[in-house]
Amino acid sequence: MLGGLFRKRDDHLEFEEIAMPHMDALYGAALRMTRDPSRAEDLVQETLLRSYRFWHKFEKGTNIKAWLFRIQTNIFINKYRKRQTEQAVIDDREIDDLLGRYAAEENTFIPPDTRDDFFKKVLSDDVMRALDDLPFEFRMTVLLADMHDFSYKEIADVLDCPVGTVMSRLHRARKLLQARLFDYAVERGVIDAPEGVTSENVADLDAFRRRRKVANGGEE
Amino acid sequence: MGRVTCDDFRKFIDAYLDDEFDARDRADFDAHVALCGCCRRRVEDHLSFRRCIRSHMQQKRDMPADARARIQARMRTVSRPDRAARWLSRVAAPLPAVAAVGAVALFYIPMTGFAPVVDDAVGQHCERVPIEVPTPEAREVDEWFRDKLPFELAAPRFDDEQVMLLGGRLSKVGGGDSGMRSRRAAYLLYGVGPHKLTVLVFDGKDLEIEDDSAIREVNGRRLSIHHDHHGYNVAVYRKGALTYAYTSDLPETDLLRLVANAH
Repeated sequence: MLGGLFRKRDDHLEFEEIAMPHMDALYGAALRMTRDPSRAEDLVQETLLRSYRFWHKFEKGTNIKAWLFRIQTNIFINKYRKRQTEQAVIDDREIDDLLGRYAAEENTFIPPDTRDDFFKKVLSDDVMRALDDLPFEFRMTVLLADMHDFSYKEIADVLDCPVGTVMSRLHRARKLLQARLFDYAVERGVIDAPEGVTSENVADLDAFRRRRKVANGGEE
Repeated sequence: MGRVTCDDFRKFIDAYLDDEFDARDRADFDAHVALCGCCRRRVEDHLSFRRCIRSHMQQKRDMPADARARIQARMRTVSRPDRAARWLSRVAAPLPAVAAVGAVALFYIPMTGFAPVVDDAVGQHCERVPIEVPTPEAREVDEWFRDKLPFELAAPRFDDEQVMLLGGRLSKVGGGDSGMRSRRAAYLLYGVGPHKLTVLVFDGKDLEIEDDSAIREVNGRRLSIHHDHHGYNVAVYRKGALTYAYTSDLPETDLLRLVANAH
């Protein structure tokens, strides 16, 4: 039992050299998980402490970043997520409805003539807000793929789900992000909403839910 | 994959751009996009969008310098290789004296590196789950738990008249590599004036002990105190094979005094 107490100096140096350089990446993800800088710092600290404790279980030569992210994700799910109120959590059916109506493959809802202008005018805060609005699993999938360059297999390992689920979530998450960004750009008046596609009917979940509620006779 | 159609391209454009294809499939897709203006436009649109969100996400990723310094300082205190040996020498010193007494009623080992247990102790402290045996009588609680746990429970008793047992329920606690709640535990609830005190009792002898906390010696007992990031204190000690994790919003000194005088 006490064997774990005796750490070789090599282990210590190895951890510093291999794991610690990923602190920024862990923090970037933690910030998007918790949406709170103080909690993100706590989460990264816990991740590194736990990683150090179980350093002997890390298989050398495998992907250290994926290993660290898996630990951080588990801590978040087991601890932090229980204590915070998830905002704007939408279920798969709602996402399918939204995408089916407004984000079909051939309808990217950003008109070709405004697309370049749109991408130039997107703000970082809008990207973060749109990302934060995604359900946790979708947010993490797009984060791991587009911010951290994880492969589908690595994302599947971190989030403990099949590769097919990763592909599906990633596709839908990107579409939803694009819809949200378009929505914000229209709200801010930086681009015009094309005819038939407005900020209300693209990705306003509250409006969408209100319409569903009316359609369902007042039932959620 | 053979000849790629526009329909294939639409279906697999994410995987194509995410570099998930092997060389042969990739070559087929490259050939298609070279010949098909429509799919080339799709690729450009996807790439524009990805470049856009990627560049914005990258801008926000670095950790603030002060947060980085705090974590690095914390890691240095935990991972100094010689620290464990120093700690062990402190623990080992009283061992001959204890052995000489012959009858070792209580042997407290300071618990360190106990993050999963601390997580669970605070998490369950904050939960509002009804107790299953609502009684102030410790004997009734002990009796209720009999045959429900893989160990014999004796709910901690306190001489302090402010402390009142309110009851208990079955629970589980984490620990080990997975961090998942998998070991059976007794959850005991006490009132301490206006404060709440919860105690998790479980068999934690197999848990790895490491340095993650402050050691306190109170009333001749060595305890470890963990400060949760949300304002709770968790005092942990081991009595024989059993581990007791006390959680409360009581000040550290009050909590330690209670734990050190529990019997």
